[in-house]
Amino acid sequence: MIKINEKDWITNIDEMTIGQFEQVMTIINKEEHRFVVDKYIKIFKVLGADESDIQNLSDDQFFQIIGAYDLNGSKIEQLPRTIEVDGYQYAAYEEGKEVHLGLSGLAKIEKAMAERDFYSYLLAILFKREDQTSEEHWRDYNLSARRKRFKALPAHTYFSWVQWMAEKIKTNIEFINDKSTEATK
Amino acid sequence: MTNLPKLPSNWREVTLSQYKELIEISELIKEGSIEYWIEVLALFWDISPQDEVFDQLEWHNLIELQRALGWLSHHPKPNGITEWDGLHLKPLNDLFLGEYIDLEHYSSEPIQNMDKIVAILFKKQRHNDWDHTEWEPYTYDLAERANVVNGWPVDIAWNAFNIWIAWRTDFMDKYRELFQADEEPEGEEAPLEGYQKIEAKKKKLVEERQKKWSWEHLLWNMSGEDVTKFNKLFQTKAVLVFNILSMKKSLDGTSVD
Repeated sequence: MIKINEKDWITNIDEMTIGQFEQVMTIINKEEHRFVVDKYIKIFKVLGADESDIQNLSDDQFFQIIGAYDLNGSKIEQLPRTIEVDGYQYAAYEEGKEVHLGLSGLAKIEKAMAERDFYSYLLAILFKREDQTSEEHWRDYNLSARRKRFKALPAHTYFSWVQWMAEKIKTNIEFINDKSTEATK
Repeated sequence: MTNLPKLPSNWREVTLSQYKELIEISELIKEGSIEYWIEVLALFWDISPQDEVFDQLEWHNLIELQRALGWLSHHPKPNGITEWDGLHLKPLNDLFLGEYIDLEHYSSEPIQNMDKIVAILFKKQRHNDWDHTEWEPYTYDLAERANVVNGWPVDIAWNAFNIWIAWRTDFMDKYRELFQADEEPEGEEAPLEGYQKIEAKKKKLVEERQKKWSWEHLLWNMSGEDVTKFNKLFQTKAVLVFNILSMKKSLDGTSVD
């Protein structure tokens, strides 16, 4: 967070919700803008600035905010196992057990990667409501309801799951490569 | 993971009906994606793609399963098998016109209709008193026979299908002039106006209508416009019919319509 012209400007993943974070990432990675300035103005708006806040910024202040951005966050060692939101309890894996991601989840993640709001979708896939069956968990409208709910969660806490997923994909690609090498020996 | 149902290890263990579903899956879902593999495994294990087993299987299991199904990336190979389940592949030069017309019709969507194509090609046979081979008449219920064929190993069906396609290509090449529309005279066409324009449009409409009803039109002419003779024509060898048509065209110097 940075204070400029009496306004707190969100600059760090720790201060963003998942919904805001995925919008920022979409603007950065998936949208084309004629000028870089336009891209940042759009990000400022997503993070709560209005037109007059932006108009009042000097050039230096504008670049000061951009310079303060930190979208990586510190690495969280322990993956949060549960989420409680709107009175519902969700868990990513069973207590005392290891994280398990089956093919059904991987297939959904593979499809979700092309979508704009990937982070909330990823959490909606990973976190199962404890009172729901597996079949109920995978129903599209349940997935969609979880996605909407999870957008309000703090981005940094749950971003560790995104890092975990990226790591898992990397490991599995290495595994595939190893297997291919074995096959050609 | 242990205790997974067995997977087929080659095309002989895949039925034609499963093969058609495989083609459908690869048309609907990007080949190689996880969703694609879930659908393929569900097909071979005869379970729903929503089955809980897919929650339990992990990525490394999928890689092992993909390797076990590596042979799927190649089409079935011709195997020379022309006899299966008490049925025999009828020599294609002995096909009757009725069979040929149906084969042509089903060949417009060959994969979808492979069961029907093979069901026309494979027939019962017997030896008569003179020890000649007699073929089952084409009066059986095609849908019922196609249903039987759907349960056959796909490589058997694929082999027969390929023999048909190769024969058909040669056949169409041999009788090329019968399958081609008469060539338009060369030279630059002057833009049509008024009555000429109406006449050209009329001609085009007639041609389109003839194309739509080409087999019916051919049969109508060959039977001397006598519908009661259609059955006799259907039971005449296709090769003979095309030889006669070819001769007629050659003698007339015009197209046979």
